[in-house]
Amino acid sequence: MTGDGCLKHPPIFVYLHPVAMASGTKIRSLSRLLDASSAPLWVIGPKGTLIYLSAAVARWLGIDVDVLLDRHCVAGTSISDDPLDFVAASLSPPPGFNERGTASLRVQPPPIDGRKVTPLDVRFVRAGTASDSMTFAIGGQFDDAVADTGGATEVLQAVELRKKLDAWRAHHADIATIATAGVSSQARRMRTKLSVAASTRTHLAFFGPDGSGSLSIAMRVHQQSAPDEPLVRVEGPLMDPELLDATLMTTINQLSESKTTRVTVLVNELDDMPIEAQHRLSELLTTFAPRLRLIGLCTEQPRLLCEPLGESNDDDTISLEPESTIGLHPKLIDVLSTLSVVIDSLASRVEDIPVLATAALDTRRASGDGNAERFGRAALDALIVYPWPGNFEELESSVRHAIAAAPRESIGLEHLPLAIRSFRPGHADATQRPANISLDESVRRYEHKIISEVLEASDNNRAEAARRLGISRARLLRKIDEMNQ
Amino acid sequence: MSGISPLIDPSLIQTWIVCESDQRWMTASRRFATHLVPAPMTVNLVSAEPNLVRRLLIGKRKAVVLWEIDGSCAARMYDLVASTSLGAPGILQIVAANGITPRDQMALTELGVGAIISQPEQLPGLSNLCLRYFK
Repeated sequence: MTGDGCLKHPPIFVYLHPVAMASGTKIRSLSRLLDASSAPLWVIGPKGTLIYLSAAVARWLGIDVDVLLDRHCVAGTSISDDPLDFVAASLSPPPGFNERGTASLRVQPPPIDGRKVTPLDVRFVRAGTASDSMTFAIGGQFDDAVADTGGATEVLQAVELRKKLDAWRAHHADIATIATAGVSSQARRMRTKLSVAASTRTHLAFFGPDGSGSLSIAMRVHQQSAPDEPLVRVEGPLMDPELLDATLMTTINQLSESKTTRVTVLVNELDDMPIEAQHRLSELLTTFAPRLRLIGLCTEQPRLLCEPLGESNDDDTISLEPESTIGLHPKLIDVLSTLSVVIDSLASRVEDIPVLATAALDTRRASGDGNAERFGRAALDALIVYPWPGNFEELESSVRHAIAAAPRESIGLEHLPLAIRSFRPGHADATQRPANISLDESVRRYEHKIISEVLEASDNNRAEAARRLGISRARLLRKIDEMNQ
Repeated sequence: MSGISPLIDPSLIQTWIVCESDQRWMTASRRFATHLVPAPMTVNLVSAEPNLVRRLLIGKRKAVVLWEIDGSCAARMYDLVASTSLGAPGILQIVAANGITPRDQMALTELGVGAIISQPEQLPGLSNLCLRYFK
């Protein structure tokens, strides 16, 4: 201003038609400031992909952030096995963000090239409406973070679950199939064993109930422990020695022709494989040791790993105790006792169920299956009390059902499958599955019961009993003989 | 009715009282409480109003009381927990509380609470505590 009170350069107001006001000021100067700032900042575009990452993000992550541009940044979980997709996903906002437009989260990216990344407190803010909204993420401490989460218990719990999952992903990126997530001691023990299994190429046994996800875990461990090594999958119960040879013929030829070839055989339901086929498999393992590796998936607990079946026969005669509950050949037990991983049933890992369900939900959401981003507390309670006879695979399919049924961000009780939401504990124990029931024996017992009742009603008159039963007298007499044996 | 004896020794039936405003913890107790007592013991689950709990504990040497405490009635519930500890010191009290401060947790521990949990999935984690208590 000049001394006489007049403006030296009076402002020039230019009227712009609203249509002409579509562009703001140039962003170059802001971009320079952002890059000079020590606070990491990134922007997620309307399509859920990363559209900007500042230089401080590059310093924080220790990588060139251009490689993260246009990668999906949603739900905390990756859409592929690409490690950079895992990093991009870890930069996504927590549950509850879509509703409230603001959220705080301690972001914990997975290790990059084996190097750990320091966790960072981040404030997420949404700009714009749903269709064209962008998310700004700014690293740093903000005083209103506690007040922000204090109001909504459900959202707070969802954020806690996300933190647990991020920690699990960060520490177990190499073996991060969802079934290994969790905070229980069983989950921790399993992950420790899997880390060992993933770091060494050795024979390996998985013991887990049906639906425990052992196949996907075994595949991941194989990829880690023996990358680029061919894997041959064998369905154990369908095999006999000849069929096993035919199935593995190519493998056997390769192993015979080249002394450097290595192959892994993954046998599904190894404990249900006919004992002759198991014997043949153990011979192949001996012949091509150590180049032929066995990964066996078994359904029973490994009780007999410490207590071998019967006596091992020197003459190679196959022997299996008739009352055995697990059908593993002694030689295979010897082989597999090197390293075994027990995958506990979901019913015995109740503490892990919220984390596992959230991890499964993240995966479905990342693949674009629905909008739901968290479970309501009533839905989580129902998942917890349900006994999960189908284990992890049943949980995954239930989450798939729920995310398809839920129209909004939160999955409620009403979105769960009927079997889960209608389950009432204290009635019949749903964990009890009919196991080892002989149909012939059951029919025989039922038949004997009917015959006994009719005989009693007929005053032991066999001709009358035969007439009442609608069978010939001779047939009845044969049945009675069977009963008396 | 295989495997079920018509006569159950009353000394093997342990009382598990749930004191809450809804059915959440009763449902969880139905699911998990049987796994928290040593075999061959069994659990008699009772849902009770807060002021009836003392009456239900008369004559009981061992029992579990699971209190649900939220912010609206915390002071009254703390009184009930304290009076239960004084009147029936052998009773195992578990508090199910959400959003309870560390200071309140310390106070509850001083009042004689055996465990404080916030979600039903934590109930199976009390197995060691409960099994030792009932043995």
